[in-house]
Amino acid sequence: MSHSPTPSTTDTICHDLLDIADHGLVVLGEDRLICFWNKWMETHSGHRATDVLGKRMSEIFPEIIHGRLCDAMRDCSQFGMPAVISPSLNQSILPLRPQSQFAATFGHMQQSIRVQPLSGTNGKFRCALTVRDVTLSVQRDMLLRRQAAEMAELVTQTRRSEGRTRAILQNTVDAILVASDDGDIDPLNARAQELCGPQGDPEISNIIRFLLPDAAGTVLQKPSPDRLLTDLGAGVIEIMARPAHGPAIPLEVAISHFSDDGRYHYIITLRDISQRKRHEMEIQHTMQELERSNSELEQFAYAASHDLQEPLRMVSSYTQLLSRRYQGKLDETADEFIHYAVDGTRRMQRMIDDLLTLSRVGRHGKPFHPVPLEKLFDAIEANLKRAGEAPAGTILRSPDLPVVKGDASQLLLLFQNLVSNALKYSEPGHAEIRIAAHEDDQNWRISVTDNGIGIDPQYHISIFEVFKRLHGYGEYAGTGIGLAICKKIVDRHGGTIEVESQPGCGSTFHVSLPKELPIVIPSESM
Amino acid sequence: MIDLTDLEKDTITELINIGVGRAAASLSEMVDQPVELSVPSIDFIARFSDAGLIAAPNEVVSAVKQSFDGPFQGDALLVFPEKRSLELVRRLLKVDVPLDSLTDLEQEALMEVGNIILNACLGSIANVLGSPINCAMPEFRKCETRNLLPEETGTAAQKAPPVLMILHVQFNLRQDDIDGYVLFVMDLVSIQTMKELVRKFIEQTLQ
Repeated sequence: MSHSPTPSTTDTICHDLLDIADHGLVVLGEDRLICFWNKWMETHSGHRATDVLGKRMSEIFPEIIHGRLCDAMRDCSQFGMPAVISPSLNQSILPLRPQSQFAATFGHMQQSIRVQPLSGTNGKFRCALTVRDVTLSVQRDMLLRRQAAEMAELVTQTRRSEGRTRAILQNTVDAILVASDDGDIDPLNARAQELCGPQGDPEISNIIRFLLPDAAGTVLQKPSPDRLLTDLGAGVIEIMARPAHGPAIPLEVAISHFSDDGRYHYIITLRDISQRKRHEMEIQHTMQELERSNSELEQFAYAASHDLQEPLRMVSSYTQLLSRRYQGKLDETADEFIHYAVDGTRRMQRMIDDLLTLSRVGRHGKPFHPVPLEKLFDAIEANLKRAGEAPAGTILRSPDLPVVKGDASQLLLLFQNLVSNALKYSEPGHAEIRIAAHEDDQNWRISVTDNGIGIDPQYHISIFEVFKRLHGYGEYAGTGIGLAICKKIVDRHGGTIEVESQPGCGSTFHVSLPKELPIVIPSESM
Repeated sequence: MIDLTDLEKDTITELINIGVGRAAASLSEMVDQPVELSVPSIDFIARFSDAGLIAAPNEVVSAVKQSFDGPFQGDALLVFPEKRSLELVRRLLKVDVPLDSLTDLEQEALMEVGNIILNACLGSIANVLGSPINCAMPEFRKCETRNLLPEETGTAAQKAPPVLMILHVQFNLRQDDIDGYVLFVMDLVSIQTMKELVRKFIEQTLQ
């Protein structure tokens, strides 16, 4: 302990109290030499009282010379000025050991020091130093600031993210609204304000309420058909907005939902579909026009080919009569002329027949049924044999021909035309026609392959056009309508037809027919 | 009531400026950045409400108060609007993350700043006038301006109301000014004693 105790009991108690104080207590005499040093100071400074008494503070702690503490002790001794020395403005004033739990973070104890004058003599003062350990407070302060910094960073990030989300929402072309389960509808962005605000169409809110499932359990009146454009349950909901100013706006409504705070909320998106509607109208109009014009053309083709038959039959009958009666009775030139006339009328008859067939593909189509291709090709072979076109063994079929869906009589016409063509353009006696079928996920692909003269690739598309012939009439008979009929039949069945061929290497016609019937059969017309 | 001559007033201003100059030097060293302090003006007034400081009576201020005793006695207060005191402490402590209110440690730092400035003012007066002044430990107060000197509104009519010496104090930290003021609250006897001491000091200096 510190100083020479007086015998007085009170003094002893006082000294003991000072010794057990939870603060560092140091007293400097008028000569500024240490005259009291309590146990706390001994413990935390590592200097025993016996070693420091009678010395100056700066001798014990050389690092404090020129510091704030030295100035404060001087002012206190000379002028009796008290001083507060805070830990924030003065880092570790005295090099005291921190408690073990703070040793890892703090090299020295964080202190708060009071320097107070004690009465002295001759205008001089004694000086009392009270040292408090505030390391815990400093540590708590640091922690608080770190947390505040993290919080501030989080707030900044959240604000930035919120700002971005708001900007996206505000600048979205669609109007977005949110409805809570009590029926309140709030516009979330500028477009929604525009549409549902007083300058827009306040009626939209009521229409939306009607569209929401179980809107507050109330029964709402169904909007009129000129406002609710589609049937409910159709999948897409379209409504018509009528703003206070400007034209009516058709809107597509999408409704989704989310739960928040145990409540159900709906997100309503309104998309302006004016342009789409306009396009739909244009397409509809064009389709109608097209249908009308197709129908007229079909009518014309049918009427023309039908009505032409009558005068042609007359010409044909009389030229045949001429041929029978006057063959060999006139001169050779006359015989030749009559022959040409008869031949011409026969060809014209065939062309008109084919044209009629072509126009009937659309007009007189029958409903689609399963058609076994085995039987179909049996019939085709029988037809061709009867006509003497197909010697036995020229048509080779794969054993696994499928059952397809379609109009049986049209499919017969289609494949008979293809087989007939294959025979026509092959060398008689060496013709070999192969029928095969393959399937993928959606289609049957039936191929008719011959070993005939082949087709130049430049004609692979045009051969399917009406009256398109690659050879003179004298070389190969035909009207140039057969493949056009094939194409039209395939179109009616929602399929495709194409040719694969090189001149001199034979040809393969591939017909793809969908396994399932298409929703819209593309061509019911010419 | 307070009939100070211009010379006497200038002398007190000069004495105070010597003090705050010392305080500024101490603070600069402590916070390791230039701190400038100046007292551009001193006013003596009889009533706090005349001071113009009470323009915003509900403004919350932070004050460090030190009572003094000696040939003249009273209270010395360093006063800042609360926001300015937060700013001052944070600039002095170079705090990166300000919290919403003064923490215990910041409050103690502000108390130390007040202690340094008030000690400097009082010490410099005492030193020059050759009369020691006993000072109490500083105390920190946070209150509305109107409650800064509650005794003024008291009914002690028989007791002479205190006289206020108001020093406008200007801190300059990192090119920003933070304004506060120091109030010396003394009774009339004390102010007369001080005036007397100042007069003697001037006489001695002019001899």
